[in-house]
Amino acid sequence: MNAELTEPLLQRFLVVDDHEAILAGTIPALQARYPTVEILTAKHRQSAEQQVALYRPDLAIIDLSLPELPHAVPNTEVGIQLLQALMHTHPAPNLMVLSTNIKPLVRLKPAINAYEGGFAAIDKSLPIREMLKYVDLALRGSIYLPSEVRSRPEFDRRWLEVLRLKFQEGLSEKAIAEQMKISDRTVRNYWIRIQDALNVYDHPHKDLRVQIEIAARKAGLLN
Amino acid sequence: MQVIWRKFRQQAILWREVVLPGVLIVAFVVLARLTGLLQVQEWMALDLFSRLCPAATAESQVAIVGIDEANLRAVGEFPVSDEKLARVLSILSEYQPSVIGLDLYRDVPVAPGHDSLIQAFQTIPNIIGVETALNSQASMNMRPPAQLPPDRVGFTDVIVDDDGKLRRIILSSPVTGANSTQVKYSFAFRLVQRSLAAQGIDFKPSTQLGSVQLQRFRPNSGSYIQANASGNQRMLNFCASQKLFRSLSLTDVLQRNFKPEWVRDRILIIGMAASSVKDIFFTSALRETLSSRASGNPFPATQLIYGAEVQAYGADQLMREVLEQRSALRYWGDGWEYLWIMSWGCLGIALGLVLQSPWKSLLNIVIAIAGLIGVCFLGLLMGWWIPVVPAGIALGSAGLVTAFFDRDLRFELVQRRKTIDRTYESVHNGPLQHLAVILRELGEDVSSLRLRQELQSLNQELRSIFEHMREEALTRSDRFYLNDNRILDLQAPIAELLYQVYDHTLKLEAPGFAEIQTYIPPDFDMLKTHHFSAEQKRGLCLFLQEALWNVGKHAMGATRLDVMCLVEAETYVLRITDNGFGTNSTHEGQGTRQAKAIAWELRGYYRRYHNSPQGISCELIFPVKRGWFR
Repeated sequence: MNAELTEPLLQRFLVVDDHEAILAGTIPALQARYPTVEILTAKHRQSAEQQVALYRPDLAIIDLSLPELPHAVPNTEVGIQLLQALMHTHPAPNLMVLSTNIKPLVRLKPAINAYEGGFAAIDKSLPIREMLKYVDLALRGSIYLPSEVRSRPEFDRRWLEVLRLKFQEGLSEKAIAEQMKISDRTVRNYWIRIQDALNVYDHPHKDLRVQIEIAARKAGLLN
Repeated sequence: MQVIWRKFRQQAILWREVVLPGVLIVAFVVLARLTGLLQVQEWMALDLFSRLCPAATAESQVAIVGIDEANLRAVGEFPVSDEKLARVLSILSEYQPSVIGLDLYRDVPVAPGHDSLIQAFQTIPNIIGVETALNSQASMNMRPPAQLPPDRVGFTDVIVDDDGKLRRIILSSPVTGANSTQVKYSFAFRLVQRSLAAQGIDFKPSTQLGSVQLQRFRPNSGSYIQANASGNQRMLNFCASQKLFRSLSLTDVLQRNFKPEWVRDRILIIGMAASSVKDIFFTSALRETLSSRASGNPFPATQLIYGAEVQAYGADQLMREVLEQRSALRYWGDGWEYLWIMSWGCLGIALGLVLQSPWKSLLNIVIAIAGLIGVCFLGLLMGWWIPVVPAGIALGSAGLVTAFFDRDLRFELVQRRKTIDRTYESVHNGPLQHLAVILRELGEDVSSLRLRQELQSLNQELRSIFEHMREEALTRSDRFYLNDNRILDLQAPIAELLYQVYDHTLKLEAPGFAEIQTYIPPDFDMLKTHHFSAEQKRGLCLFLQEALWNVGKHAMGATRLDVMCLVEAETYVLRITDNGFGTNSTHEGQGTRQAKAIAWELRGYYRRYHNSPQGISCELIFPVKRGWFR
C-alpha cells in the first residue's frame, strides 16, 4: 500500500509558532530532511489561517499556545480552535502538534481518530530528530498521540466499521467510502491506522488485508 | 485514607471561612436575648400575634357593669353615692350572679346613704371589695371598705411591663405589714374563688390545679428577662380572649334594662368605665376594648383598657384555667427556647450554604421566616408563647451572612483561579518554552543524558505546581475526586471531564482490565451542546467511574471494552459494554442505587443487561434537553 506515491508531490509545510527560538530550531531541520519542500511560517492564528487558505500546505506543524493576532497573549484555546478549523478545511492537511502542553488534545481525540489526514502530537522538548520521525508518521496518514493523551491502544468505532464492511460485507474500498460518506483518502488512512493498532507490518510475501483480517479476528474485532 | 483526610481538611477550611460568621451571628443573637435586648420586640410580637387571633366564640362567665361619663352625668354626682351603689348591688343580687366584684374604692363614706351600703355589704354575702396593697409605702395603699372581712377583699395592683403595657396579673403576694408578713390575694383571684366555691370547687392560688401544674410566672418566663416576678403572677393570654365582655351601664341596671341571664351565675364586676377616672392601662394585644368602642376609634395599635376590664380578663382567664385544667399561656424552659433559636439559626446557615446563589438563599430565607412566623402564630393559637423574634433574626442574619460569605469566598476563588491561569500562561510562554528549546537542542548525547533528565523533571515540576494551585482554587461544589488524590474541576466542559474520568479509571489496576486488548473509545464531544449543571456533571462522572470500575472488578477475561456515547432518537445514550465473564447479579448494590439516582436527576433511566454470548452492558439513557426557543 504505497499510499504516498498516489499523493501529489509534497510541496509546502506550514509551521505555526510564536516563539522565534522554536522556529529557528525546527525550520532548518525540516528543510534538511525535506529539501524540496517550501516551508512557510506563521506566528499567530490569523496569519496561519490565511496561509492555509492561500497555499494549502500538505503538513501543518502547530503550537497549541498561540496568540490570536500579533502581540496578543498566547492562549491554548486559540491553538485548539485553529486545529479544529484546519481539520475542517479541504483538502485536509496532515497535522502535527508541537507544544509544551498537549493535554488539551484529549477533547479532540475522537475527531483525530476520524480525521482524514495524518496526525501526530509531541512535546516540544523532544529532540529534533524525534520530531522528524513523527513528521514522517503524520505524512504517512498515521496517528500518533503521546501517553498523556492516549494511555492505551484504542480502536476507533469507525475503523471497526471499515473492518466490518470489508470482511463481513465484502465491500470494495470505494463502496466503503461511499457507505461511510468519507473520502477515499480517509479510508486509506483508516487502513493504516487499523494496521498500526493491530501491529500488522508490511511483509513482501504476505497480503496485507488478509494479515489484517487474521489479526482482527484474533483480537475479537470480527465475529 | 489520605484522600478522606484531605477532603476533610479542605472542607474544614471552607467551613471555618463560611460557617463561622453565621455561627457567630447566632451566638450574638442568643447573647442579645440573654441580656434582654430583644425583650421589647418579643413583647411587641406577642401583642401583634394576639391582636390577629380570631375572636373567642365561647360565652364568657364575666360581665362588666361600667360607670361611664354618661352615667355620671345622669346621676349627677361623682363619686356615685353610697345610696345609689347600694341600690345597684341589691338589684343585681336579685338576679343571682355568682359573685359581685365592686371595683370601686369605698374606704370612706360617700353621702348620702352610707348605712344602706353597709347593709348591702352585710346582707349580700357574695360582694367582693377592692384595695391596693402592694405599694412599697403602706400610706399610698387604698384601704378596703371597712365593713368587708379580709376574705371578701382583693387587691387590684397590677404589674406593667417596661414598655408601659399590661400583660400579667397577680394572684397573690406576700405583704409586709408593720409587724408581720401576710399573704394577700388579688381581686380577680377572690372573684374566681368565690364563683368556684358556688360550684363546689375549692380554689387556692397554688400552682397546682387538680392534676395539672400551672406554670407560674418566673423572672425569665417566655421572653422575659429578669422580670419582677414577685408574688404569684400569671400571664394574660389575650389571644384566647379576643372579645369584648358583655357590659351593662349603671343606668341599665338602675332601670333593670338587661336580660336576667346576662347576670345569673356570672361574675359581675362593677367598675369605672370613664376615662376621666385614672383607672386605665395600656395594651396592644387587644383589637378592641370598652374604651376604644366608646370613643368610636376602632382598632388603634395601642388600646386604653379600664382597670375593671383588666380584672375581667384576669378572672375570665383564671376561670378557664381552672375549668380546663391548663395554663392559658404556656412557655418553654429557657434551654428549649435557646435550642429553638439556634436551630433556626442553623437552618439559616444551611440555606446560605446549600443554595449557591444569594438570590435563591434570600428567597428561601424569606420563605423560612414566613414558616417560622406561621408556626409561632399557630403555637399561640394553641396557647404556647414561642420565641419568634430572636429565631427570626438568627435565621435571617445567619442565612444572609453565610450566603454573603459563601458568595464572597467563591468570587475570591474565581479570581484566584483566573490569576493562576494567567500565571500559567506566562510560565508556559516563557520558562517552559525556553526549557523546551534547551531540551530539544541537547539532543540524545550520552554526555548530556543526566542534564536532560534533570531538565525534564524541572519541566514536570513547573507543570505540577500549576495543577496543584488550580486544584486548591476550586470551590467545594466544583470538585470531583478521582481515586489518587486528583481533583477535577466540574466547571470544565463535560466531554473533557468524562475523558479524564475514562482515562484515569482505566489506568487503575483491576482484574477486569488485565486482558483487555481493544479499547473502543467514546466520543463524549456530542454532549457539549447540552448544558449540564455542576451536580449533573458530577453525576455523569460518578456513573462513568462506577461503571468502568465495575468492569474492572467483575468482567473477568474481558478482551474488549466498548464505551459509547451517542444520540439516539432524542436521547443520549452512555453505554459501557464488556465481553467478560461477569454476571449480572440481581442484587441492587450501592452503585446501582447511585446510578438510578443519577438517571432520575437527568430524567432518564438506567439499566444493566447481559449480552450474548457473554459480557455485560450498562447504560444511562436520558433525554436531549431542548431549549425553550429552539
